[in-house]
This record gives sequence, structure tokens and C-alpha cells, in this order.
Amino acid sequence: MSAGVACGRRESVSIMVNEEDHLRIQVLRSGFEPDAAWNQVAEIDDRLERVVPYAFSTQFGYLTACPTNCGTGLRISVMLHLPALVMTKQIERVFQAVSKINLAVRGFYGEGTQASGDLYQISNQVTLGRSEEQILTQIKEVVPQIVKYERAVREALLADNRTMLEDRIWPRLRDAAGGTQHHERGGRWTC
Amino acid sequence: MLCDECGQNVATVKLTEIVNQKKSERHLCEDCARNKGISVQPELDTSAVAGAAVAIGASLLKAASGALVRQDELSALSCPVCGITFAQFRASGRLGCANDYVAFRRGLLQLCEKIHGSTQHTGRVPRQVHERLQRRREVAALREELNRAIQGEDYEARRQAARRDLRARGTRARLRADRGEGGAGAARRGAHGVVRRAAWASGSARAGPTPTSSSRPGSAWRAISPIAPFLTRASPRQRAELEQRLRTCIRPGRHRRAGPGRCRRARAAGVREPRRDGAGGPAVPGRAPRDLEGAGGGRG
Repeated sequence: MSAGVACGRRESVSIMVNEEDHLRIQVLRSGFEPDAAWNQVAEIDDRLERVVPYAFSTQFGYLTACPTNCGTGLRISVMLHLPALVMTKQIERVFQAVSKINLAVRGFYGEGTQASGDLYQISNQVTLGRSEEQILTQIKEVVPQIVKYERAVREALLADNRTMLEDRIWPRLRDAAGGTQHHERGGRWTC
Repeated sequence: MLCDECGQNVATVKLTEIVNQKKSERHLCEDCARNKGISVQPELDTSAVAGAAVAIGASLLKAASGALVRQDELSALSCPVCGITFAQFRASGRLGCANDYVAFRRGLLQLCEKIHGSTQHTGRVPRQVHERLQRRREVAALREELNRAIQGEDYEARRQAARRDLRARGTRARLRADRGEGGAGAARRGAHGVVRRAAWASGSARAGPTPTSSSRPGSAWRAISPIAPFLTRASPRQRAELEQRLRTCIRPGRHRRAGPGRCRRARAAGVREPRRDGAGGPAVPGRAPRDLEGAGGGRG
């Protein structure tokens, strides 16, 4: 069976065909714009629906190869840079709180990958039994709280441990300004 | 308290004796109680415990074996379209085709309950399915409304719900009749709402057996009236009141706007509009609307 990817010119939209599922529509946006991203996905979905008959069940919703995605089939992921929470080891508390409300924390490249550079993906785990709007609302409520928490910890770090922070940051900045290349290998930064 | 027997040790055993219907209580220490042949240590009934343990073990085994059997049954299920078994799906985590959701429904429902905490989709639906679903939900909601009104004996709500429901059914039946499906019975059964409305609006005497407070409602009236079950049980006074309410609720004016052609015909035939209070009698008794004749309710 042939497979392929269709990409938009700006590479912010892509449609994967015959990957894990027959169709996977992806829209990427910078900043925190889940509504705009969802509207674009919904528009593409509506247009595709006119020509492609979707496999749908009134009980299981949109049918996917894996039952973990059935229902809305919607996965909203928000990539967050959380260095202060990692540094102060508060990230575990965030993970625990987030998992209690059925949100998943994943690594940089999605499911099954490790977090590198303190970048984490927060995404919804539940796709069945909740409408798209409910999933969107949940993400829109939770993510700003994590961002607020990260910023508060950054402020506290600057106020209490400024020297330690500068000791960690300045050598990196100096290296970067000197043109030394950094390579990501095995999830670790090497110089 | 000291022992009643030896008077030295602290009494820990209370001995109650009933001899010749006379009750006597004595407080004894452990030693004295043992000397009297009273067992002080609480003995464990090993046979009872063993019996209970065996019973619990058996029930557990039974439940476990039941679960195993169910699990085996599930694992053996296979999809007639793509051919994969439920066990293969559990191993790979990927379903083979859309029909697997039908073939493995039971197993997938359990799985979805675990993963999502729900087994019912509540999000978007494809456009085609949406229209079908909406119609179905609408009919279900109307039926529910009707049942609620019946339970609460809310005549007005019931009348309105029944009118909408019957009209929808009438439309469908007419469509079926137009296509030549279902025979005349289908049209007759389904067209009540439409017929009833046309009959009252045009004010024809032969537009169905118009009920009067003095006469018991006929079968055709029962068929077309949503309050007929109440009428058959009602006293003459209550019946008159209900009939009056029914007449005043059907507004001829709305019907006139809906069907100018029919009104022209009615005017040409000299049909007088019924008054709002229901006292306006039909002017042309010999004329019956075609709808009603077709629906088989035009006798009278």
C-alpha cells in the first residue's frame, strides 16, 4: 500500500496518508494558538469529508487503527520549555498534577521519546467521550497555569540563586557566541 | 472486681447460670473458671474457618476461570473482513480494518472504558451521519416529550408533541405512499397529523367524525386525536372541555397561510372558516378534503 505526506508551503500543515492511520492531519502553530490550529484542522477535515467517506461509528466516533485515538481522533499538543521547573525538580509535581486530569507529558518528538533540552509536550490523552471543544478548553485552561508556574519559579531562581544561574548560562552563551557547534546526540548536549 | 470463688484474683469471666428458671450471675477469675470446666480461651472453630476458606477459594477459582473463559472467547474472536483475531490485536495494538470495531466490540468497549473512561463518542460527526443522527435524536426527543406529557397528564404539551410527531410520521407515510410502498394502510397510519389538521382547518363536516360532547368518540376520532385516550375515560363534562380546548388550539389562520391553493378551493366551495371558539360549524357538509378520504377517516 502506497503512503505519502502532503505538506503546505510553509510546512505548518501536513497530511500523512497511510501511516498508522489512513489519514492524519497536522497543523503546527507557534505561540499558544490552539483555537486557530483547530479551526484550520476542522476546515481541512470538512473539505476532505466531501470526497473521502470516513469510517465512523456513533459509539466509537471516528475509527482509528489504535483505539487510544478513536472518538474525536483529536490530539492537541503544546510544546513547552520548562528549564526552571526541571532545575528546581518541580517538574515531577507538574507531571503528577497533569496526569490526574488525563493529560500526557511526552518528550520532544512525541510518544515514547525522551525530553531533551527541557522541552516537553503536554497533550490530551482522552479522545473518546469528550467533544473537541471540551478537549480544547481543557488544554487552554491547564497550559497557561504551567507557564505561569514556570515563570514564577524563574523569578524565584533569579532572586535567590542568581549567581548559580549565571554560572550555568554564561559559559553556554560564550560558546555559542564563539561559534562552537552543539550537537544533540543521545538526548545530551555535547560540546 | 474480685473473683466470687477465691476472692483473691480479679474476675475476668462472667458466668450466668439458669437453674429452675432462676438466673444467677457469678464473676470468676480465669483459674476458678478453668477449675469449673469453663473454657476461658476463645476457641477458633477450625472446621468453620476451613469451610469458609474452601468456599472463598472455590468462588475465586470460579470467577477466575469465568474470566479466563471470557478472555479466551475474546481472544478467539476474529474479524470476517480482515481476518485478524482479538489476540493478534492485543499483541500488536493495531486493528486491521474498520469492521474490527464491530467484530471486537465487547473487548474494545472494555478497553475504551479503561483508556478513555467512556464508551460513547460525543464529538463531531461526519455531515452525512449528522443529518441521520439529528433526525433520529429529534424523533427520540419528541417521543420522550410525549411520554413525559402523558405521565404528567399535561394535555397541552402532549397535544403539541403529538402534533409534531404525527406530522412527521404523516409526511414520511405520504412519501412512502407516493412511492407505492406500504399500501394504503401505511398512508392511513401515518397521515393522521396532516389529515387532522386539514380537516379542522377547512371546517368540513365530513372531515372526520367530528366529536360532540354527547357522543362517544368513534374509532376514527380515536385514531386522529392525541387526547382520545383521555376522552374515552373522561366524563361528558371533561370531554366537552377537552374538545373545546383542542378546537381552540388549532388555528385556522396558520393553515391558511400555509396552503393558499386549498383555501381558494375552500372559498370557491363556500366553506366558512370555523370560529376560534370552535362554534363555527361547517358550511358544506357534503364536501370532504381529499386527504381525509385517502386516509380512510372520511366516514360520518
